[in-house]
Amino acid sequence: MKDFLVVLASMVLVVPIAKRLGLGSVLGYLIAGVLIGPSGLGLLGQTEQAAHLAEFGVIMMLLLIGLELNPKLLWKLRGPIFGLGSLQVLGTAALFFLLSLGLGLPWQSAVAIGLIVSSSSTAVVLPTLQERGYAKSVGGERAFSVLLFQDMAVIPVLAILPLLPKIVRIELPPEGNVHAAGALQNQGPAVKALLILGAVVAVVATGRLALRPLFALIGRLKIRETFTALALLIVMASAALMSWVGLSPALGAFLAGVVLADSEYRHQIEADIEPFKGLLLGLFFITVGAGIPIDLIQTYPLTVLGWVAAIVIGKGILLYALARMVRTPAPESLLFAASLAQGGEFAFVIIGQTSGLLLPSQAQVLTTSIAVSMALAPLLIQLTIRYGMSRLDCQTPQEARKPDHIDAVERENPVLVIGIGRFGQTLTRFMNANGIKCTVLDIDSEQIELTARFQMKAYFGDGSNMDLLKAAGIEHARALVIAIDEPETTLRIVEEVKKSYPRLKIFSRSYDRVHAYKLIHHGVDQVAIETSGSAIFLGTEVLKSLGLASARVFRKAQIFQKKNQQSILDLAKRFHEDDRESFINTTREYAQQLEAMLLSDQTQMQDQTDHGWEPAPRG
Amino acid sequence: MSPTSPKILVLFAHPAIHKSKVNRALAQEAVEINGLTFHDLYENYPDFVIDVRKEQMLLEAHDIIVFQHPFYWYSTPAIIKEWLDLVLEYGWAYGPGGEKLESKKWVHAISTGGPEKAYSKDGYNRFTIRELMAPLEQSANLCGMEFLDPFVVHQALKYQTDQDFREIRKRYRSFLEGLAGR
Repeated sequence: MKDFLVVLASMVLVVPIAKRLGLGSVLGYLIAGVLIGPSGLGLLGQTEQAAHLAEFGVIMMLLLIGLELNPKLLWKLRGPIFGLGSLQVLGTAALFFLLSLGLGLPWQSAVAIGLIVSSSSTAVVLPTLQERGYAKSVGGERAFSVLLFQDMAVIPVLAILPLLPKIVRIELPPEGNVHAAGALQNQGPAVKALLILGAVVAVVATGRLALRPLFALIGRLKIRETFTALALLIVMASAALMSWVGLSPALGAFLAGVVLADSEYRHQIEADIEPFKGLLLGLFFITVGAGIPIDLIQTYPLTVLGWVAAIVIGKGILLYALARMVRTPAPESLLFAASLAQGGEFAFVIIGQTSGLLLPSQAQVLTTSIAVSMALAPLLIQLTIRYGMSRLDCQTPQEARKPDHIDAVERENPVLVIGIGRFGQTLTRFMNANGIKCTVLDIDSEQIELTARFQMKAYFGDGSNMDLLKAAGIEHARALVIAIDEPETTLRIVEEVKKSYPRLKIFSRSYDRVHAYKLIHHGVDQVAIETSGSAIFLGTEVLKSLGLASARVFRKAQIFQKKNQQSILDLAKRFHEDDRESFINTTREYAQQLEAMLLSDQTQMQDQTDHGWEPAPRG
Repeated sequence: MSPTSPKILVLFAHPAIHKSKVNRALAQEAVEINGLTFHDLYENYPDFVIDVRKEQMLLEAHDIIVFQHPFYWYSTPAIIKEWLDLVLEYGWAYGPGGEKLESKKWVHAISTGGPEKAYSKDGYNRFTIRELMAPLEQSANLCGMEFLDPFVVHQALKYQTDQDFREIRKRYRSFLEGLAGR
């Protein structure tokens, strides 16, 4: 109970401070862990129990990753995942195998160490990259791909380790490691392999055959908690099954996630698991922090320091070399290397499987070094982002290509459009139908190729880059249309363009109302919420199908659209980000008024509107 | 109606049909007459984007054109004005080569709020309905069409009971059948 209080309090106190200081939440949790752990203030007594609970944070994260891993994404990233991923795992394993042999360790231990160090920390890296907004950069995406491969590589690694001849016979400590204990203790390799295969098949088969009907049933019953409970049950059950056969429980959850990735309940499961994951992952970092034995570091400072340096620098150099080898731009390669230059949580799992291959003291030094390298990782990533790569250098995957040269004639076009996605396409076609020429920029080469096949020309180039906008002839443009789907980038473009070209009219697609308000505050001349027009159009068709006269519905739609747009302009004036509460009330009143006005016409024969179309009461 | 009898096209225009019981009843009656084409302008063109080619083909395929509508401001609802402006093209409906409508018939079926006596020299509307329709009559004339006396339902609000509606529906049916019989 006391431990629980301490953990929650440290989460609430330390993490926001760390974030404010620009250290990020992962580092915040780790620091909180060190602070309250036995080596720090000693507020946290036994971390054993907390650690077991916290492992579910990692397990849930793996389930969520599994859910994201639909075949399409996998296919798109097949190169980085399997190419870069396997190179990284094998390269690192080989490097540390040789290093360990050089230190005079037996080959079995060297293999184990190589495999242990080959994985990086998905738990640390992904949240850090996401928090910093670099998850979608080239380096970030490649790092994610490699992490994905590592997650999969754990299967064969865990299968191989028990097969290595033991160098020492060691009794398992009484409390045992959850992963090492299990059904396989006294079985031969063949039975082990069979059991593992059986467990994997069981998870996949249950997922395919039983879970969907079960989700469907519970979905129909509409008991919210039961759905959440089932989602958690899947996590726990698949994890338990896997650790029973001696595999990583996270792997079971990952498998369950992949099985459910293309089910219609995916988003619901994600939404249900997400808060648990966040909290438990936080707990996980705290226990990692608390588990760093400062006294061990004090006893063998050089050994630990040496290993940490070997892990960070050795992996870092190897990673950078690999990234450059596959033609990743230098700054992105740096980010990629910094992102993966640490040990990962799988290492702890693998170390749990290495009894008999490593001496307990070796295992402890290794565990500590990996924990330290993980604690350093967020810092390393942040330093790399701050000093290693300027904002301009950070490119999204497609941008590795150089911007196209824009024809001189096109620079004279009156309209400049950024984004040739679903929105920009329709808008540009409409412009062309009116004989107005547009210069179009996009950063997605595939999209550009696709639209080119329909005689629609777009130039490759980053619309958020002012130099490029200049090259595209923004000085001659009479209107700028921003039709991209990243709200933050849109705001940034508006801000910069307004600064340099205050008189240019800016028309922007907006993601939602709040985004529209922000855009108006930034000074756009007109916004369109990207979905409202089509929602009203489709609604019109629904009403017509119900038998309402189309002239009536059409007019209502026009009124609705006009009022809706007016309300955005009105409400934007009252929108302040700090005062959400009163703003929500205003918005609600506004929506009610509009609805009431439109309804009055429907419920009463004597209308509130369009009286002119009635016969005069007394003729 | 027999296949050889003249074909009737009813061009119906009411911007808020849910507000007019009389026009609903009359439209219903017209729809139920065999061999008659009923064409609802506001339903087809709520956005006023009239398909001129399609309208002209409809006109060419019929002999008697009935404009059914409420009598707004001594004239037609807005969409009929738009329809006239766009469909009756120079060189098609009038002018050199504009003879596609020649000798067809043009007639209105209208509802009014006011009583019959209001539409007279001494009434508050000061003109008869036929006089007020002069621009329409001349439009028909320019296209070489014969302009017939309108079918009129006065004091539309007076009609409330089922009996009332049965009565005007019957009147409208015999008017339309009478047109075809001519």
